[in-house]
Amino acid sequence: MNQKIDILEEKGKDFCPALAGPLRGSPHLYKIKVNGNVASRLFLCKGPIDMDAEYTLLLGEFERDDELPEGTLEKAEAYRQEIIANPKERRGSHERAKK
Amino acid sequence: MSELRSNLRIEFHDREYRHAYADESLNTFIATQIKVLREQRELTQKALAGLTGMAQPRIAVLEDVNYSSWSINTLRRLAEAFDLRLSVKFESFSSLIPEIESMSDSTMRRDSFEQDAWFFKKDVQQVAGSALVATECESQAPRANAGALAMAAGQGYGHMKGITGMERMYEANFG
Repeated sequence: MNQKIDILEEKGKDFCPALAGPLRGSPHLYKIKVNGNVASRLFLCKGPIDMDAEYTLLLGEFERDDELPEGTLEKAEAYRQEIIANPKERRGSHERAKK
Repeated sequence: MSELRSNLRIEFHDREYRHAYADESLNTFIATQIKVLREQRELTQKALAGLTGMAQPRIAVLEDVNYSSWSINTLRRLAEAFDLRLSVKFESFSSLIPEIESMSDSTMRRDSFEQDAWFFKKDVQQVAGSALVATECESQAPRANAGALAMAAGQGYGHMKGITGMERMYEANFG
């Protein structure tokens, strides 16, 4: 997970488009796949305040049998809208994942 | 020290973590470089599939940073299609960090043999992506030998003109 976030932070999505692609049906949301013992999925969006210089991690979920828990995308989109409405109160610095 | 360096300097003390991180980085590097090399040659996935004898969906999988089941034979087939050599090396962990930092489209591009200036052009000052430097030379044979020595010494070919240069290089390498 840290490796993928590091690459995204260092290089941006345009360099590695396969790293975090926009989701079908939810073009403002991106998904990062992290495979391991469990299939972790990170949902993020570009911006949403400074579209050229930042990404915001919205939600983390586990995928089972290629299925996400019901309502995952809706929840991520709702978080995105909350951030757009109140960016200073609703965002914090990224905390690096620890073992 | 950059934030990335500070983080990895601490986190890499965990053996399992550093191997997992390096594996993921390798997947990112290979998948991204395949795409960069394909685009450098203005090939579609279908065209590259044709050159390698693979199906187009297979190329899409190989360009996916989440793919991890690489085989040397598959990479060899891609190298041949790109007219490049395949290099597989074992490296220390500290070398990973500058690799990540310098990773870009331009650092991942490689010229196929036909575009590899060192083999064809005279008066080459700097060959992109390499320390190899060439100046005008009277014949091809001594030029190749001198170039090989220059590479081994980490110096530019242009530093060695005539026998004096060769002696200096010999000293640098063997003296």
